[in-house]
Amino acid sequence: MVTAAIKAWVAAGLLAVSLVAVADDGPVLQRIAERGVVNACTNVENRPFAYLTPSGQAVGFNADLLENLRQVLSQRLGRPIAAQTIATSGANRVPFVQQGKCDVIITGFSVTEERQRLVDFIFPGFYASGAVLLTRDDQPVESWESLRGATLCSSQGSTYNQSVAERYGVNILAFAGLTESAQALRDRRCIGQVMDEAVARLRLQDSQQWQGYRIQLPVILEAPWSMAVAKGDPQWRELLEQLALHWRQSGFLYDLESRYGLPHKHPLDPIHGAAVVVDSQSLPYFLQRLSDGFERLNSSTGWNFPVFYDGWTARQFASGIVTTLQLSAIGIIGSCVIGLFGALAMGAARPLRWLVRGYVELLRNTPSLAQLYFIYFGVGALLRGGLEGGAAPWYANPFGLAALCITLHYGAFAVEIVRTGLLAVPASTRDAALALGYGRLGRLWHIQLPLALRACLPALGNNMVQLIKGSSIAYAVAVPEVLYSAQEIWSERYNVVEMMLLVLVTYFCAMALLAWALHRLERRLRIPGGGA
Amino acid sequence: MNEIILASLPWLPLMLKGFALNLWIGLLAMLLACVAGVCLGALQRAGRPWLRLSARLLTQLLRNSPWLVVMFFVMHLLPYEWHVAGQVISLPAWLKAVFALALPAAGNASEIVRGALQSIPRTQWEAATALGYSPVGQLRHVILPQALRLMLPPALGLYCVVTMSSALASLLGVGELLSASREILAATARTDLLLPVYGLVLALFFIYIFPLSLLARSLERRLAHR
Repeated sequence: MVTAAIKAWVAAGLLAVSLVAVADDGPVLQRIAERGVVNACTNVENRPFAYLTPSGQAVGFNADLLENLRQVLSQRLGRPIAAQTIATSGANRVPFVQQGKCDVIITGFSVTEERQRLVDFIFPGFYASGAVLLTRDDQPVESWESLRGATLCSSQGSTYNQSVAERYGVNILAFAGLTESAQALRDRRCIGQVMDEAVARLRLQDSQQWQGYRIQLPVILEAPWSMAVAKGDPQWRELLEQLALHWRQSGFLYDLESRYGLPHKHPLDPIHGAAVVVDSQSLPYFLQRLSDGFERLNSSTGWNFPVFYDGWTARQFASGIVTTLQLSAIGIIGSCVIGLFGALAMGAARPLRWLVRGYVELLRNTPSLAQLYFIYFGVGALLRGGLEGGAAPWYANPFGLAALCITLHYGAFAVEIVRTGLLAVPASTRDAALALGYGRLGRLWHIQLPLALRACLPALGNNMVQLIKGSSIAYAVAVPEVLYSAQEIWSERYNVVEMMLLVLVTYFCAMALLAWALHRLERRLRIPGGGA
Repeated sequence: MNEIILASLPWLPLMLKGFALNLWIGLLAMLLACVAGVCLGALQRAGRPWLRLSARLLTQLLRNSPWLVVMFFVMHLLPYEWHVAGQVISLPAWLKAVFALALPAAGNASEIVRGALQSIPRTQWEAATALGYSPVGQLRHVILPQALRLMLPPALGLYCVVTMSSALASLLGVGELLSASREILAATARTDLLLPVYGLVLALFFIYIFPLSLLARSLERRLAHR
C-alpha cells in the first residue's frame, strides 16, 4: 500500500505534523469489545430510516436494526455494548468504514459493482428500493425516456444521480438534503424529485403539504440495501451475514416495515452492474496524446487522474472550471458596482444611508453559507406565492441565486473599501475641483473616483481574491462549479486526493490570473510622483 | 405564524447546542492559528534567507487556499485516530474542522504579525540590540509588546471570520448549527420551516459577531488617531 502511505503523507504534510498515520486493520470484533461501543455510519436525514428527535437522538428503521445488532453483540461478547450512530453522507461513509471510524454502514446503501470493490456487502440485504419520480399532479410525464433534457431535483450522494443523468440524459440538481430538494420541487426549480420509493410513499401519506403531488413512472434502478463492512475481516462479516439472514427469516424485518409504514420488499440478489467504462474517444485532442501516460500512472502507482484520460470526466471537470470562472467574473463585476453605488449612498440622505449600512452589517457579520441557504430558499418561497403555471421561473436557476449571494456578500465588503477610498481624497483636492468650475457630478467622475480607485485598488483586489475563494460555497446548492464536479468524480471513483489537488491548482491559477491582471492595471493607473 | 413557532420550539435546544459547537470550534481554531501565526510571522522576518523564504511561501499557500477546499482536504485525508506509541488519539470530526479552519487562518495571522512587526520602527530593533537582547529576547521584550496593540484589531476581525467559517463544517457532517438545522428540517419534513430555521441561524451568528466587529473597528479607529 505504497500509495496509501503517500496519500496519508500528503495529509500529514499539510498539517505539518510529523506523525505517521497507521491504518487499524485489527479484527473488528476485538475493537468493539475493547471499546464497548459498536459504531454505525448512517445518514440521519432520511426519514423514516434514520432521523433525529428533538433530544438529538437518531431513531428510525436503521436505528432499530442497530439496536438489535447491539443486543446480539452484548450477548456474544458477554458484556454490555453501547451503540453509537455516526452521521455520514454519501461522500464520506466509505472512507469512514475503511478507516475504522465505523464498524458497519447501516443506511440506504445500495449495492453497486464499484462499491463492491471497496467494501464487503452483507447479504441478504435488509431492504430494497429503487428510484421514483415525485411530481405535481398536473405534470405530464410519459416515460423516463421522455425526460431527456429536463431538470430533476435530488439529494447529494444519492446513488441515483449519476445513473439517471447518464441513462436518461436529464439534468440533476443535487441538494444538501431531502428537505431542500423537496422545497426546490415546490419552488418549481425542477419538474420532479428523484428519490427512494419508500421515502416518497411515506411523504405522500403523512404530510398534508404534499397534496397535489404524486408518484409517476415505474420504479427504476431497484437494488438491495445492504449493510457494509470494511474488507479483510471474515469473522465480522460472517456474524453480520448470519444476523441479516435471521432478520429476514424471523420476520423481524417484516415487522419493522409494517411499523414504519413501508412497502414490504423481498430481498434481492446481488446485482452485477456495469463497471466504469473508460471513454477516451471524446477526449480533446491534446489530452488524447497524454491519456496513455495517465492511465499507466493509475495502474502502476494508484494515482488516478481520470480527468486526463476519460472523456466524460474531463468534460465534467472542465465545465466545473468554467462555472467557477463565470461565478467569479459575475461576482467581481457585481461587487464592484455594489461597492461604488453603496459608497455613494453612504454619503446620501439618512434613510438611504441607514439602509445601506444595515445591508453592509448584516452581510458582513453572518456566514455566507447561511446567507446562501436563506436567499436560496427564502427568495424561492417568497416569490412562489404569486406564480402559478408550469414554466420554471427565472429564479429556478441555482447558478443565478448563488451568483447573487456571492455578489451581495462581497459587495458589502466592497462598499466599505470604496468608501474609505473616497475619504482618502483630500478635502483640498475637492475644493480645488470646485474652484476649477466642476459640477458635483463632474468632480466625482473626473477627480474623486479616479483618485479613490487608485487608493482602494489593493484592498479591492484582495476582496476579489477572497471572492474567487468564496465562490466554492455555491457547491452547497448544487451549482456544478469546480468543487462540486470534483466531488461528483471522486464519489464515483474514490480518488479524493487527486481531485482535491486539481481543485486547489485550479483556484491558485484563477487567483494568479487575477493578481496578474490587477498588477497590470495598477501599473497602468500609476501616477508618476503620485505616491505609493 | 404561532403554529410555526410552536413547531420549531422543541428544536431550539438542539440548535443552541449546535451554535455552541460553532463557537467552540472557532475559539480553538483561532488559538491554534495565533500560535502558528506568531511563529510563521516572526520567521518571515528571520535573519536566514531560506527560513524567511519558506515561511513566506507557506504563509502564501495557506492564506490563498479556499477555506472550503482546505476543509474537504483535512476531513477526507486525516485518519479518524492516530496511533502514537501504543496510545490511541481519536480525532472526531469537529476536531478535524478545528484543524481545517486553523490552517488558512494561520496564514492570515502570519501576515497580521508580519505587518505589525514591520511597522515597528527600525530604531527600536537597533536600540534593543544595543541593550544586549538576543534576537528572541528583542521580540519578546521590546517588539511584541508594541506590535501586539497593532495586531489586536485585525486579529479580532480574523476571529470573526474563523467563527463564521465554522459553518462550512456542516457540509462535512460536523453537528454544528447549520447541520443541526438541516437535520431538523429533515426530521420535521416541513418545508414551511425552512425560512424561520435558516433565519434563526443568521440571527444567532449576527448577534454574536456584530458586537465583536464593532469592537474591532473602534479599536482600529483609536489606533489611527494616536
